[in-house]
Amino acid sequence: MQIAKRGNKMPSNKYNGTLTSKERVMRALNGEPVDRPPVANPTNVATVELMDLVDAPFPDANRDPEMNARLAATGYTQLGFDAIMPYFSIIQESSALGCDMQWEGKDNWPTVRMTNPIWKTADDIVMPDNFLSHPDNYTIIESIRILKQEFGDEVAIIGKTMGPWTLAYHVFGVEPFLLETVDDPDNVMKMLHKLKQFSIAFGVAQIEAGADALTLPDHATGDLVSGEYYRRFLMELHQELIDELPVPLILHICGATIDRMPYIADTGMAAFHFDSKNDPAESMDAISDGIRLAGNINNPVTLYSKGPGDVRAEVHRALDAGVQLIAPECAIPLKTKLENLLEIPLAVEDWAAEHWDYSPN
Amino acid sequence: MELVAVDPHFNQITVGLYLKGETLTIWTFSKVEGSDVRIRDIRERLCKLADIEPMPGTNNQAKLISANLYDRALKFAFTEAVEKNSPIPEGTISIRDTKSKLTFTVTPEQTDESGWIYIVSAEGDHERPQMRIRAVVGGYMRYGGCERIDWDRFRFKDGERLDRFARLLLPYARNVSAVDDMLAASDMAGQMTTQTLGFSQSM
Repeated sequence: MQIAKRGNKMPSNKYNGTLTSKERVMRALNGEPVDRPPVANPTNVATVELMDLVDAPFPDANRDPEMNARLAATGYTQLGFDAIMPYFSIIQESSALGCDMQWEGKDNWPTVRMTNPIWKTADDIVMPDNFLSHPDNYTIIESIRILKQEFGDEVAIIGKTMGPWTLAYHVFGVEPFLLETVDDPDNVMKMLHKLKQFSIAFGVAQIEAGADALTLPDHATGDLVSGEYYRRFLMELHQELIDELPVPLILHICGATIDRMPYIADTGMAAFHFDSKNDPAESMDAISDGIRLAGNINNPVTLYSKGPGDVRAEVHRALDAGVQLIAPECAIPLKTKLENLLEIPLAVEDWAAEHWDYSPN
Repeated sequence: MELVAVDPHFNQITVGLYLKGETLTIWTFSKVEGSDVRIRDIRERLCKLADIEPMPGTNNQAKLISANLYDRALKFAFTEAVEKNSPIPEGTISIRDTKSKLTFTVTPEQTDESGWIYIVSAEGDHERPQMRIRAVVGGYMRYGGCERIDWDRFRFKDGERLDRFARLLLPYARNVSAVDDMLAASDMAGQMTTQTLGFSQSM
């Protein structure tokens, strides 16, 4: 195993500039040597300009497989990233479950109206017959098929299935669900285990369609719950998902999460996609080589409002710390400047050329 | 410099304003038929709103008149050029206050010591119009990078005469807090955060 260690120059290796994007991503996720760190986005990198470029605007691109695939592919074809992420938002399964949706327009994210939850108790949780064939889930599954057909093994196609904690926010509402964690923790465990079936079903369908890896966003976020909550409610449940979803899994949790990183490192997941609220060097220490890190380029300030020089500096800071997969910290703002996104792979290549004797093909 | 995600007057296309050297370029990635005409129209409108000039021989470029870059003012002008289609006023630079019954007027005046200065005056019923005028001058300083000459007057950098910017900025200058809120809301649109997703809305 040859994972970058913080503070040490990586040795040259025989893979100099020879790996495909997919190989680069999959090797990095498996902790194997790579020619350079991959730029592998576990969440959305589509922007309003890219929507225009391929005539696939929101919200339709979330609900039409061909539009979805066209827009997702731009991450690879236009931005030069090593991965394609066709699930832009976090609401497809919840829409299929019947949640009250707000689809918004081209320039904003579709959301679930969580003030109007669909379920109240664990007994309400039932798998709908059409869960996978529902148009909003089918869109992602079919898009992955299209992308696999188009790109084969050239680039990593990363699917996404929402974790039970996020689904709980959507179907029960944020406040009722979090209050239940205090009032009746056993019932919460029952809810989460029942909700896990949706994460598994949607994830397996994406794997069968051709997904090379899966992101598992589960928003036990730093601003809402503690690290101890993660250990108590989610750690084992995430460990169980490893067996059920036989591809590398990338856990995504927003916010300050260093307090739960040691637990996350013990889940057996391939990587943790982490937020810029966490210092990359501290984060590397927190995971103690137990898991790979992906991220953590800041969205609202660096990518949205600063310039390529700032992006480059942040990419290099993450690489210097030993972060193995470089990516924006979360789904990027839809009005992100393309020049900032284009700078990410360039900054990685230049860093690798200096530290790893990497030379592009 | 600025991106307008949705053009409400032409097929919801996204339009960007880019600056390289002294050249401004208006651009869209959309291939919708008529996009080029729409971009030309936006360029024409932008050149009437801001103190810039069309670049000869082009349909989508303009050049800065001033050696100084009025970043925020240009962004306002571009957004207005795309999002609004009402006639651009001419003549006296004047507007009703949103916080009082006053009407503000901004008048350019050439001086020996400061170059072109702009004097803000107010008419109407108000106990302390000076307070509102002072606030308007503060708004020009905030969004136009202007220098306060006195409580009721300001000038652009180097004492330049920039009447179009003075007209453009007046609606923004009269209500800084509301404009700042609008800009913050605009920045949040399209951002995926625990707040915009609703995960922290009620806790």
